[in-house]
Amino acid sequence: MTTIRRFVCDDLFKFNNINLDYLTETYYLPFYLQYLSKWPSLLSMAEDVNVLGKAEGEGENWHGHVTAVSVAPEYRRIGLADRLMHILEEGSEKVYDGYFVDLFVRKSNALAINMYTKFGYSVYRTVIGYYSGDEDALDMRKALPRDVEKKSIIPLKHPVYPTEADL
Amino acid sequence: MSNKLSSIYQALDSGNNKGALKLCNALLLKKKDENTNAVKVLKAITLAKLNQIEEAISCADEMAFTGINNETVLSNLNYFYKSVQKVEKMTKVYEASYKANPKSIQLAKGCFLAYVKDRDLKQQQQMIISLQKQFPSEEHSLWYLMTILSMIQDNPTPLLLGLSQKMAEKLVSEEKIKNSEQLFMYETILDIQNKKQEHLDLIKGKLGDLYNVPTERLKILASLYQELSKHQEAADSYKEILVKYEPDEWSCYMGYFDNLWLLNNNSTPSNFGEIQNFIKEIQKSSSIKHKLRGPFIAEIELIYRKLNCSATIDKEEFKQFITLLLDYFKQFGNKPVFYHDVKKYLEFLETRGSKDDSVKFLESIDQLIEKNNDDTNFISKLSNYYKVQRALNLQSDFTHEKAQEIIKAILEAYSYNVNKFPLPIESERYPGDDLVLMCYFFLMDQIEKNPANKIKYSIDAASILEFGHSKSTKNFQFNLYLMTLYFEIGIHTSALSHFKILNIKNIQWDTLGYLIMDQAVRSPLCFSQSVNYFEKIFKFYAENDGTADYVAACYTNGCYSKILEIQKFQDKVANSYQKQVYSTERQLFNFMMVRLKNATNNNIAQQQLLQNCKSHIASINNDQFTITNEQLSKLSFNQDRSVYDNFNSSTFKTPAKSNNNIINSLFFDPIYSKESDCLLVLRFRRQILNLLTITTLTTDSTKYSQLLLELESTITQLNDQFSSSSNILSLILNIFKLFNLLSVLLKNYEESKYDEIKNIFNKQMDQLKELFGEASKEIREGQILGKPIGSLVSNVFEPLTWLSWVIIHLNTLVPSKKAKKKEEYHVQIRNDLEQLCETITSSLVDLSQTLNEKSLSSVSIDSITNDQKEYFGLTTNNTFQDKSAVVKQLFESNTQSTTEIQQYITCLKTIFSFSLNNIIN
Repeated sequence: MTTIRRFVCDDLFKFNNINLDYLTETYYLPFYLQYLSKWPSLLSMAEDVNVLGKAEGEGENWHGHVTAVSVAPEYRRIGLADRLMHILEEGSEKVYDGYFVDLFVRKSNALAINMYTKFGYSVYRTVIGYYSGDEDALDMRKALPRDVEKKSIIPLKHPVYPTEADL
Repeated sequence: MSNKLSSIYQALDSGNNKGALKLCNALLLKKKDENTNAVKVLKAITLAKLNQIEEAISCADEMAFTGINNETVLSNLNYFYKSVQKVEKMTKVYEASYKANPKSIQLAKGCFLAYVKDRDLKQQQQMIISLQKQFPSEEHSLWYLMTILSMIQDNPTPLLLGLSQKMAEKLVSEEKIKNSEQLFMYETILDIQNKKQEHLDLIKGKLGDLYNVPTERLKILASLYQELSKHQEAADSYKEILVKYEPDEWSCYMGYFDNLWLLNNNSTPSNFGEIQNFIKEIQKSSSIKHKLRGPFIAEIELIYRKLNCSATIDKEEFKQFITLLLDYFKQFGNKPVFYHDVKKYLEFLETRGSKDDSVKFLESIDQLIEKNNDDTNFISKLSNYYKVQRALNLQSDFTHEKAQEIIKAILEAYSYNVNKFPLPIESERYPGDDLVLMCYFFLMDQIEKNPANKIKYSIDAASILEFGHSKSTKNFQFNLYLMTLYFEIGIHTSALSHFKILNIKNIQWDTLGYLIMDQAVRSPLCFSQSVNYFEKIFKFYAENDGTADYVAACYTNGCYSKILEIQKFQDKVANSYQKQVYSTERQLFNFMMVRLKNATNNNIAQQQLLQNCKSHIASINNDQFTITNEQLSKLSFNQDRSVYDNFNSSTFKTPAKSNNNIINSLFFDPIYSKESDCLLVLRFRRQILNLLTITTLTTDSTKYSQLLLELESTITQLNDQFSSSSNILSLILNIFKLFNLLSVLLKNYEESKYDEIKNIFNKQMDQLKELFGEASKEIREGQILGKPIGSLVSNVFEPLTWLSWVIIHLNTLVPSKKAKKKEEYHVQIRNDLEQLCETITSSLVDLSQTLNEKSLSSVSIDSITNDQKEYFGLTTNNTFQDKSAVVKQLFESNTQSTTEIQQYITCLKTIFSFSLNNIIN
């Protein structure tokens, strides 16, 4: 049984079952507060699952960005990430009227890349040394209805460095 | 930016602070120009980096309030004042700047936002009125409305409510409400006035379209319908979400059922069959590839509600309920989430059904599991089987033999599975990990039944958990349980290692710090870590000072729904109980460390030791030792008690924690502590710190007496709750009583007062003997040092450190034996003090001797006796786990602890020898 709702400040007191997991980072307070005070509809929470997103970019680059999707270990492989991603995409489309949604994933994380591919994301570009300078990231994108011609997801031919990536 | 300024920035960026300071000073020597203020603030920043805080503040203050109209300078000033914890000065900066530049909209806004951060609602209101008048805009109208709404939250007067509603209506009529964040303010105003119908009409109307995401609007509508008792409409709204948008959204199933039941006065609706059919329809539409859980649990929930409505259980319906649960297992029994989904219904089965029903249900689950370890789903199903068994309280009557038999079988299955199905990536968990936890629970149950075997079973449990941890290295549940277990049996270094793996940081210090801090400040092996942890903890709480910036950001970003929420959160962190405890305990801990550590330095003179302690005491702020009832009532308990996975039945009783007395539970442990007791302990510890800080030569005896009375009253209350701690509590009280009585006596001698003092001396002597006796007994009787270590620190090291502080001061008050001007009673007092110090030093020698004997008898694992083998459970072993590794760690930890404790005993002896020499002289 899963109920998904907007993330609220008090969730910071209770999200340890997600954040104690090895791959989930517990950010410092201003990080969460910045998101909450700017993109409240792009942060969602279910018991033991959460997603953090933001809206950014200019002109046709205006888009929703998936910052973190975290699912507590015992709640994995039951489709919760799919539901949360859908909510973020819906917010990016209907609240922020973006052209696309994007996310960054470790090039080595085949499991996650497969999952995002199933959700309709495709690799737009490779960002060299994005993760602490030692691992490349794949920038994956999914076009929203506003990008009628789906220009935003045409893959770049060459990898880019983080400084060129307009992050 | 001028070249000169950029060279200062470069110097600062590269960490060349001295170079930056030189550049600043050189520029400031020149004639004042447009860069002067910019340089001054950079100089202040540089001085702060060089730790010249006072000079830095006065440098910034010189120019800060002169009316700044430069964004970079303002931003740098904000950074600077924040870095020196004087951010409140920014309000004055903006006030002065706006006053000097009244036509600047940026400064006017800055001033308004400064008041927002300060939560100065009166000034906020005045400023927004000026802003609106001078620079009318839609944004300012909305800020005005939000300001009034904040005032209403503080004090909802009819005048403010009326005003806010009119303002909101005006904004609507002028079409200035353009998104749901803005609409939120109007909705809140209506809700506060309980105008639910108006709120409903608003959402049903055109403004409701501002909720661009249809489910958000429908959920608001449903909730308003429910509040207005329009249950059919509420049910329809929830149903619409389920049908059109979210067939898996549990809150909507619950909302739908709640309203249907409310329509029928909380009895089963007459159209029950129709509801069932509706749920089945949703089930059918769920794709085979990705089956939704929601509609299937909803079917169970339906029948559960029907059963719950009647006093007696209908057999047929109960059978149906069981069948549905079993069907759910067939579909989702291979998912770890199965247990969480059905927990509520298992509780019903346990409490409303018979034990026989539970047994039969478990047997049916067993029959649904194909006993084939080569099947990928086998281990997950087996894991859920044992979770169900535990949740139904069917493990409580296991004998030790039965538990061991299952543990063996479980570990075999687990081990086979981890080899057969390696993890796709290391960060994942093995599906059978919970079986390993189950073994731990079995052994803990056995300890409850037979406490004499605690060590044996704990070592067994630790070795099993270590086995699980070696296979599934990223499963933090293993770290959590191992940490707890190791602390319990005294393997502190290993406990710390597991804590470090958890990588607790930032807000987790507030919510999870209780996991470690009791132990860290009580175990000599963790002392150096404690200092480090306190640093990190206070860094987090300092971060909260910046939370107000995000309230201001909500105004500038137009995110009105988050303003009150963030403010409440800010208060919860600022008024965190844990924060208050940390601040007191950090000081008490530091005080003990300053005294003990310095005492080991052979070169340190007594005067220097005293001076170091005085400097420490002088650095303690008032807010670390005082706390009013009002403050206590506002404290927020933010601890997270849900981190440990357990699959206990609803009737499971948490085992009593060993050593669970006030002396060993400073930080709120949500599993074992009552909030009221914790508040009492906090008050007690603060009173001690307060008394320590005012135990100086210039003591005001009236104030001291008052504090003593307060401490006595707290101790009386503590004694009612924790009678086992009465001796130590009484000893602590007598430490400060002694000081007070002696100070008074020295001012005005009366024989009766001296008799009272003599009486306290005698009592203290007895209490100390008893304490030392208990400590030695614990050490002598135990095979391990785990439990006695914490007691030694809290019952011996800490109070003796306080007593030594008091005696040092008494030394300076009572004329020495060699003094020419002295009374007979002065000599008597000195003799009494001498006797007290001698008692302590000789008891410390005895204690040290006892520890030595104990450590000699433990020796090492290689020379372990047969009795010890039996005691540690080393006579049995199995292929999966190596118990001897844990025992080896235990021996090593014991040896390390003994060495550390001996050092601290030596420190105490030194301190009391100091005192004794002074008394004699």
